[in-house]
Amino acid sequence: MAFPADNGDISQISEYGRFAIPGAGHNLQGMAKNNKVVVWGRIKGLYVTTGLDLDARGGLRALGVSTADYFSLTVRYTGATGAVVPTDLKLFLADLQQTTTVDKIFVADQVGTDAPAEPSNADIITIDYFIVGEDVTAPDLV
Amino acid sequence: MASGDITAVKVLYSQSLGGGQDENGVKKNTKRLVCGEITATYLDAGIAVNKLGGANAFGVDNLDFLKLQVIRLNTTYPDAEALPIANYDVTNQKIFIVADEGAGTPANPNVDVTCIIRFLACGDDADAPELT
Repeated sequence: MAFPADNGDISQISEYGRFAIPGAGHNLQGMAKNNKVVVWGRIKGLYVTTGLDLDARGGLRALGVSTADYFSLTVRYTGATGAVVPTDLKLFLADLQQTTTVDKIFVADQVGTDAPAEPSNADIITIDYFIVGEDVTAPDLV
Repeated sequence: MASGDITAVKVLYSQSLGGGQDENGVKKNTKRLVCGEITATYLDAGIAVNKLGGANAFGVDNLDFLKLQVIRLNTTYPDAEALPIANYDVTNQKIFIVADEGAGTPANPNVDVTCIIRFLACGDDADAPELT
């Protein structure tokens, strides 16, 4: 990786596109929200077992939404050189730990074995994301 | 038809998402979202998406995002401690499945099991004109 980075750092977030969803949506309280979008892109970083630190990049806002209604993460590559792909009994799985204070991404890279494990610290991780949520660039009308 | 071959790809929904970017920030004006269903026979070496042109099999070029969902394996649907999951190897363009994640000893589907897989793909429209 061509930059100084600590394990757990996200080095790159590439937004490939966003699409405004026509019509109003709602929040969990049923209030109408008119700024729903689909956003998708790619995250690269150095893994650490305490999770990829999305907080350090602004949390969900770094992915282009202020609130995520739905999100999906798929892991493209893991490994020391960032080129390892899934094989027959070593599939990848990623999830987002999203609390009111923390946004961390965790990965398992040996799903299908009897003892699934995380990537090693400093493994180069590439994850694609797809999110439906509220546009982070929408005006905040109060 | 050989083991691991895809026998059908059915596009259930396809919509233009307008413009976007590539990894280098270069504008791409042909983004598309596609939902569909793949029928294939399983092989431990992976379901051969490469035989159908890789990402083109999902209706896109330059796959930005792909989510796979296993609907059934032969007549077996997801069940307690037998949750099927699928991944896509973007390098070799193969789909791999673990049939019973959640069990003590997960395993691949048997060879030649019929796999029904739904997908959601985002990327550059495979049918877009190539403007140079």
